[in-house]
Amino acid sequence: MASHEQFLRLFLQHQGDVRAFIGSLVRDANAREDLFQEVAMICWRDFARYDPARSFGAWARGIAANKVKQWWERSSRGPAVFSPQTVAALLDAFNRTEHDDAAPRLDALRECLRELPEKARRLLAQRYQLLRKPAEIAAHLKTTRDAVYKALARTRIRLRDCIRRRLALRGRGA
Amino acid sequence: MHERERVQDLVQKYLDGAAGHEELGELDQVLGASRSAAVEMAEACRIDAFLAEHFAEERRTLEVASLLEAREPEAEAALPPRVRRRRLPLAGVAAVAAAVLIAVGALLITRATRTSDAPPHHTPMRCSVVSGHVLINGVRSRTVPHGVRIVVPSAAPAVVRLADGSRAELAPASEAIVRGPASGTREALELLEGLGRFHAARGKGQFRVETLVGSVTALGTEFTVALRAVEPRTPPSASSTRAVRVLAVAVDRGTVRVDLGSQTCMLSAGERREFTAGIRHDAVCGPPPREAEPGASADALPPLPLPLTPQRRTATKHSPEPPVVVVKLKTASPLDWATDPNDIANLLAWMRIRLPVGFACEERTLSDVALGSTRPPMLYRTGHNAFAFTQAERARLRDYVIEGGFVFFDACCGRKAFADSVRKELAAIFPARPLHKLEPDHPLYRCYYDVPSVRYTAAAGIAGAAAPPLEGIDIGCRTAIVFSPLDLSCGWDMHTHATCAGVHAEDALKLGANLIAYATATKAMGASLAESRVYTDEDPSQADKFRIGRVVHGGQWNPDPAGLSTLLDTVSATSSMKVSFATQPLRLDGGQLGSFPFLYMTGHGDFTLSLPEVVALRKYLEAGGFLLADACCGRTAFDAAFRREIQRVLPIHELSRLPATHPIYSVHYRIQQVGYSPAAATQRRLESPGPPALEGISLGGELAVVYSPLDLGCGWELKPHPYGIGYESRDAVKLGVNIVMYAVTH
Repeated sequence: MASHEQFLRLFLQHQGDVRAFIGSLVRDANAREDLFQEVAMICWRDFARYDPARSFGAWARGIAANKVKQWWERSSRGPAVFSPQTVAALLDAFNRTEHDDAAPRLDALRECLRELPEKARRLLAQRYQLLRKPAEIAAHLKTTRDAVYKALARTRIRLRDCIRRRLALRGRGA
Repeated sequence: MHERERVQDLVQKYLDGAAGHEELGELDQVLGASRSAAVEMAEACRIDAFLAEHFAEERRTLEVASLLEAREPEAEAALPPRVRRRRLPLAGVAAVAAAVLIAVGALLITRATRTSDAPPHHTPMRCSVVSGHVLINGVRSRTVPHGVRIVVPSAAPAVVRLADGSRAELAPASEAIVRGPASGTREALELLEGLGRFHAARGKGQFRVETLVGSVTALGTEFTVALRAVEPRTPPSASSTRAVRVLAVAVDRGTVRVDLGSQTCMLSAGERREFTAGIRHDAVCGPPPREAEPGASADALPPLPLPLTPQRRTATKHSPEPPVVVVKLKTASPLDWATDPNDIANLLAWMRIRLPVGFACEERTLSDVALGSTRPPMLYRTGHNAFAFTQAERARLRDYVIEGGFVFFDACCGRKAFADSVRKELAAIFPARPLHKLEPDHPLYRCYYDVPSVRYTAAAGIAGAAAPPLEGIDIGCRTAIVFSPLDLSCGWDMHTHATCAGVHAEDALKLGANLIAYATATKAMGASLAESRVYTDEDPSQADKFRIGRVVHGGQWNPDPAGLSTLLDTVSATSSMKVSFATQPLRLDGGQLGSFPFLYMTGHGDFTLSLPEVVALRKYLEAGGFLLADACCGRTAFDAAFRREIQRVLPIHELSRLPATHPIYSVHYRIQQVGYSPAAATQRRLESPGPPALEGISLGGELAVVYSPLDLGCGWELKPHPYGIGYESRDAVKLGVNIVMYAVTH
């Protein structure tokens, strides 16, 4: 049970970054979720092989990178979007910017979300809660698709800056 | 544009799927070449994943609330009055069925052995009520000592700050005991009844919420626990006379462990699952447990089977096991078929509460299922991945279906790869019987619950109520294979997640109940039809025979393959006519109508005649031909199609009810009153005995078209047709004999 709980503690700590890493390579939501579940299962199965001296997140993301490559190979949606060099560069970027505890970042995100203007919040809700595509949001809001793209991009960048600011204020660094 | 801004622009476009081919290439290059660009991408993807998770949480809260709310009237009606009074409204989760316990929290917990009967702790630790109030022994209190039962009495929830800094928001009518610290546990709360939301403070040690069904353990996660006690309205069966307790767990963040006695279940973010007390919840829903090493301990040994009969007269006699109604087919990968491990068990438990039936299910590989005389009424295959049956498996499934079996395929989460494989395999198993969308009047949509339309999950992309997604393959009158390209199993499993394209849980459960009702009701019919004989003439030549053409039209034209030949055999046997009959499938535009003095047309669904078919049939009828048509099983889709098409064939004539004095009712048998099938009595409110309801069109004073909107063909088969809306077999045969005799003699 000790290893069981140790695994859970580590996995929960790093699952956000594993999701984010898979999301950086695969944009299909169904496939992302499948891959994440698969990675979770493999991490659990092979937990005995995990070297505690290494970062658990880096280990799990390495597994995720392999699973994504396999998925690309068997996917009917054409060749991989990114080259192996890019995958390696992304792995490296995630590893270098890894945070031990995701909770402060999540807290900061929630606070930043509360600060957003209602219009921006509604836009995010359309995209992430109702899972609408930008074209559908544009039709719903009677605006253009480009306007939706730009507004979503602005909102996410604003959130990123806000999180950095808050974490810096707390002295934890961005 | 500045390089950093360009990277930012490319990344953001990529996140929304707005990057074109060239931009993707550019992004690939820049990410591979620039470390800062890769970091920019990583940060953007973290925000994207955070947002997806955060909003998924809100969506799940709404879905859980709507699910519970939608189920309230039925659940509440099933509860005894004392329990019904306890409505448990709570902020965020609107109206909830009575006797529901809900706990939400971020918890770190271990298993405990105390129960509500355990003596209270006598520790100085105190918890305080920060809003609302609680009663201890009927007295209002602002503090909550450990080990003391507290009751939230008023209409407002009470918020209790626990000794470790955690908060418990308890709904009105909730009852709980704060247990306090124990071995390895920082704080534990036993929820006796009601509903609560918990926010656990960070810190070392563990925090646990216990219920009567089981305890929920999480590591730094947020989740919802609901425990509902439901007593059946009437004791439906020996196996379900006790109140049923259902524990529902919805995970908002991270992973939780649910301990149910000897069983453990892992759930991760986005999953919602219900557990029923006394029902085995197989395996582990999240990561599987490690396999015990052989000989490692006594626990590694499989349990010995129970003796079939009590060994001593004093030994407890177990109530008989309910019959196995469904076998869920296992495949090599649990990730494929077992991601909803409790789907069918939950569906059967849900049915036990509402219907007077007690069924069981099993999980087996296709090769392990006995498909002989003891075959189960229903096979159930759900999955995510592409698959292919072997030739031997295809042959087994084909034989099983033809001999009366029923198979249901479910594309879990609406996965296209699985759905494509189902279509491909069914085309290989039954090449001449294409999958077709089930007609709106199909018995599957009304055989227990009326489910003319369903609601879909957000990922299905179908707004509002829409037609159910079921498709099927018919063997005779019976739909023997049903396929749902959109998910039902997550709904049966009573959980929701963002990527599930399927039917809303409430409607999925109703459709599931109908599927099981249909499979069991048609089991005898299927087996019986498999043995039905098609009478054939010893003399294969058609010379000097009365030739009857079975009209081949665009719809399912031959639902009762044995019906007509059985009728003609009866005609030969019961009449003094020395006429030999020959039947043959016939296309209306094939130029052969002149050789057939009698045409028979039937079907279940909609069809349309082509212009050459319309013209050929018109010429045939005007030249003295005779057409008999009946709506197989009394289906309204065929009825509407036939009326529409015959109007095109004979535009200036109308179908009219044949009067009781018409010679067709007396040419052989004298038929004044007929009996209707049980389905006709329940669905059409037809009381037996009643007048026959044949309609017809006469041309030049001679009856040219006879149409029965009620089924005749199923009755001719002399086999059970539980959903056939028509005449009793005896009267269907009498009517059939008279119609054939009339046609032959006129």
